[in-house]
Amino acid sequence: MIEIINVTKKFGDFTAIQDMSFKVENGSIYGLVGYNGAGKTTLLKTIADVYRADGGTITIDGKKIADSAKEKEKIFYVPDDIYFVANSTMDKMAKFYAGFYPKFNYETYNKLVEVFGLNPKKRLNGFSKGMQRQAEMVLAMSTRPEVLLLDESFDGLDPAKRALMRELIIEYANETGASVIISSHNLHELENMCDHVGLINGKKLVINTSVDDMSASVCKFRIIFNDKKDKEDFKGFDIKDFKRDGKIITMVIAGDYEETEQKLSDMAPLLLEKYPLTLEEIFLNEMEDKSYDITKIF
Amino acid sequence: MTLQKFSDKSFSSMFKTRLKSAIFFPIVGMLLLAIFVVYEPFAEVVVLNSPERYGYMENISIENVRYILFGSLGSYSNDIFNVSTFMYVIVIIAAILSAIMVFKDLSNKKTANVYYSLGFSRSKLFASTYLAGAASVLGMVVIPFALSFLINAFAFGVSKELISACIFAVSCLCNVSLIAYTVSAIAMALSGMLVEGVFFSFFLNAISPIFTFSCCMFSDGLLTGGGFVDANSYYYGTFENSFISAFLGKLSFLNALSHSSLEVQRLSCCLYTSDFEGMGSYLSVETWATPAFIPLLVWSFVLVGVIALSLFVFNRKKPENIGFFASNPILYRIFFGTLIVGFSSLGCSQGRNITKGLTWLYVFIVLAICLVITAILTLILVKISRMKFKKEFRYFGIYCLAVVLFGAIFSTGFFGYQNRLPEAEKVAEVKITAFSSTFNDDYGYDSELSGNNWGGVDPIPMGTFASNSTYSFVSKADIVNIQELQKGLIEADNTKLSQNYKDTKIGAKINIVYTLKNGKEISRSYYRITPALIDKYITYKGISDQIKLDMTEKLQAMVSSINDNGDFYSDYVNEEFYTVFSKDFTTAHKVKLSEAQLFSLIDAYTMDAENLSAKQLLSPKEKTLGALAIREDWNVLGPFDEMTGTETVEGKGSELEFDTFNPNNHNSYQGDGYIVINENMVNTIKWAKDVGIYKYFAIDYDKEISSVEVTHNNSSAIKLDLANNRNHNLLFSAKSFKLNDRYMQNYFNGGIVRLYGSHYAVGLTDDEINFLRDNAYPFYITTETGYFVRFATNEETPVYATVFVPDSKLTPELKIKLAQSDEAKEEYYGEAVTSVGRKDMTTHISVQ
Repeated sequence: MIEIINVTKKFGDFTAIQDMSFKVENGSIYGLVGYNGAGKTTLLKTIADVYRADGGTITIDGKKIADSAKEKEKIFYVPDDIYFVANSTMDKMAKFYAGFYPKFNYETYNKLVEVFGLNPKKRLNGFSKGMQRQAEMVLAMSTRPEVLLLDESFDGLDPAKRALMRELIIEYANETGASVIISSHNLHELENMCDHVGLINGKKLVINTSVDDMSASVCKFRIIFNDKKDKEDFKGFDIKDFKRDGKIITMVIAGDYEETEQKLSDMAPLLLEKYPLTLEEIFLNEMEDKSYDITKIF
Repeated sequence: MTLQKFSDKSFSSMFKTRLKSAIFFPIVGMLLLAIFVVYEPFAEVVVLNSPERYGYMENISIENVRYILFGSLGSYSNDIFNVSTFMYVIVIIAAILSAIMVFKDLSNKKTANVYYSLGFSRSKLFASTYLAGAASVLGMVVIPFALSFLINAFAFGVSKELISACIFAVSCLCNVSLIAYTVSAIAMALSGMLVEGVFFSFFLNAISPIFTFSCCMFSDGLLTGGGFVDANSYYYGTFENSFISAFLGKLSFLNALSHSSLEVQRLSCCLYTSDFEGMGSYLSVETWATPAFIPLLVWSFVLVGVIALSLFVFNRKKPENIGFFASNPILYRIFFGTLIVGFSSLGCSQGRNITKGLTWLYVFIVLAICLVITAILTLILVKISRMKFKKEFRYFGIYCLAVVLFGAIFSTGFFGYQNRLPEAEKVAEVKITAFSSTFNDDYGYDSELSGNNWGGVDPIPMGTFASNSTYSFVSKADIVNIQELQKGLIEADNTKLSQNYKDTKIGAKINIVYTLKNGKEISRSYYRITPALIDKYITYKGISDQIKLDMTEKLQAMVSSINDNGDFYSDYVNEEFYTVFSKDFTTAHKVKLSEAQLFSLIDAYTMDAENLSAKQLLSPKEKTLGALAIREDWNVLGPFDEMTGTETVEGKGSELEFDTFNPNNHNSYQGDGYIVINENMVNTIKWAKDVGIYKYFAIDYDKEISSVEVTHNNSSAIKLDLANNRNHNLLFSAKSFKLNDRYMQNYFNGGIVRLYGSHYAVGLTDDEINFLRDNAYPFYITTETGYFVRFATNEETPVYATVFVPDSKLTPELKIKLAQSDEAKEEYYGEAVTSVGRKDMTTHISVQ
């Protein structure tokens, strides 16, 4: 289990992430979402000990990671910007990583190379961006890390490989009990893969919950009443979004969805429909604090 | 695999990975080093084993050699261009480039992500990376020397000298290269971008030489009795001297990149001491002496400190700054601070030529310029980085403080330490050098008052007297008297320009070296002197006696040298030839002297030297008769064919196409000189009469003088220039030349020549001109006031001759006339001469 406790990271006078805390259990996949520049990469690099936290601690099973060779050996960080040793092949990189990760497994490596259909003898700088990502994932999983940090690792992959990668990550977490933290803008992908999500906004982690709880905690309702109702008529509800189209009202309401449904039923609507929110909708609901009239731009 | 074992494995994995990056430049360096360390000794061994040897190897056999560690037997040199210097340069550059290569991956955003996230602590990451580069740097040095050791062991056998020299040379080169490597590692750790890292790798390494150089320059400008600028070759200018001194001089032990360089060079090879003789005069090999390990030891401690600093810096490195320009302002503060101090020291050195007060003015002007440039650069940096101008601006005060602190330390002579004289009882020996002109940048040939060329009078001992002679004293009385002189020198260095000529501060150089009874040596160099002090110096019996001895010995040496080189001259003339000048230097006659006549000259001159003081010989109150040029530079007096077979040839200055004259050959004429004969020298006069040359000393009054130009030596222009240390020599020597020569025309139109004859003497009668000619001194130590007088003969191609006439010789009327002429024109350096002399000026004007 990896635990991030009150972590703060500053770049000079600028605070990139502030007082963030969450933990990722063994076998759990944690999705990190947030705007561009929200601090997802900074957080991942801080966990990987590339950056030093200015405050707080990060532990694996209660042991601090910072500058601990022993604990860092348990982590593999796949950056957004992949690097391979100049003119190296996958085999050479495997040898390179095998020197630094005691659990590097050539059997896993060979199987994964086969699964992805990559040529391990070919120079990596001749690979396409997507193939390089696959190669990096192969190498990452071959090191058998207890904590796998993936930064935008689905970028550049074709749909088939994305699906394969997703399945592999789930399988890896399940089988090895590894904790996986993955940052991505593809919320749909995360939704199908992660059991927990964290949403970074304004330097802070504003949502840190399991996907199930999150679905339960916020819900979209379509309601039709006999008479015309305004937002003010729904006092007592934690309304995140309110839209009315004639008599049809669409609301996103936070809180226990069963309780909310019951309360809405008590208001005797002609129609009451409940829809679970997608991660993307939750993200947009949470983050949309500014609205621009884009029709006036051009 | 246990965790410890894996840890070792991961360390070695990282080491191997980094080694691949590091090794290229050390390999190149090793190959270059091998030329000096492997190839050259090997080639020498091959030659020594072959029956046919030539050059310096002719007289050496394999039995004479103890070892040849690097270079060849004949390559020993104290100059900056020696094998050791090249080896130092090679290993330093290779070490810096190696550090850049090995640490560049940790200064790149992409690669840093990988390396910093690997299972390593920062210290371990640094250690494995550092050691990879360090190992390759050490290998670069050790491997060639190991091969050299083997070659020597096989060729000459193993000796303790070989082992010592090998260990010492390897240790020094390893130390220097590791310092350069580690400093570069620090630069790379502090830099945000590779380009910065490369720049600062070189710059941080340059700090130590810049610091040493600055010390030399500050001492040159501000330190009374400085003496840190001790160039190997006297013909270098101040800047070059300081530069060389910073690497090879007294302060070179402060220079991380050149310490022990000369010591390493000294140990390059070794012959058996008993075999030195007969090995060829140009083979310079010193006797064996245990290497001086102390500087190496000190710098080894420094190296440990620098490594610890690099580890500290690396541990604090912020990978998030990678990719950002000027992310670490410390580097730029060091850069600006170092350059400001360095340039201020340069200004200081330039300013020293005036007075101490003005030296500070120079320093502040340079400092102000540097600060303005720094402000502009800082503004640019602020624009393109995260730096904040206000914060950086505060450091300007620190830069100024550093300059002032440096200046104060040197200006106060290390807070008075420098001016402390050792107690006479504790001194075993004191040496004082001859005073010499401190201008060096023009090789001496540019000045009309320095007379080493083109007919300039160089009295026999003076050419070498001025640069080489050292007088030694051991008695307490002498030591006390020399200390009195030293006090005067200290005072002269601090006094302002005086109206009184005797107290005028004049640029000159005197070194004083004390050897204490406990073996310690204290040396001081002084750059300013007053005529009063010169008088004191030359009239002090102890010095006077040694000058005379010097003069007679030099004359003997010169005559011997002529005989030794007789073959050379006989190619052109049947016998050696000499020139007799009249005292006004407007006429010259070539004469022949036999070997016997030359030896009798030595006797006569020696007798005069015994009876007279040095001042009576060189700068007498009595009139001069003229000068006899011994082994005159043949370039001066005309083409060879005119001389061949002639008994006497009248020479009136140069007929030579000066395009063919190479001033760089100047040194080869150092042996040339003149005997200036005055009325005191009865024995030499008798000799001149006996050999029949006395008649040629007579002034040719039939040779009409068309113009007389004068400048008083106490004029403000002269005084300023004297204090300026430039273009002057207190040892005035006459010179004459014809103005048909192209080079001389340009030279004549220059300001310097004008200075010494800048004002036409108006309204002189024939008698007065003849009086000046009769009282002329072709050589004079100008401790008293007088006129530099230039005569121009009334001929189609006039002869110009400059001589000195002391005030004491002038009649009151003549004094007034000359003074009026001298003061008539304020423009000393003016191009146009409008005043009209006594005679027709057509010839003179035609060359303007």
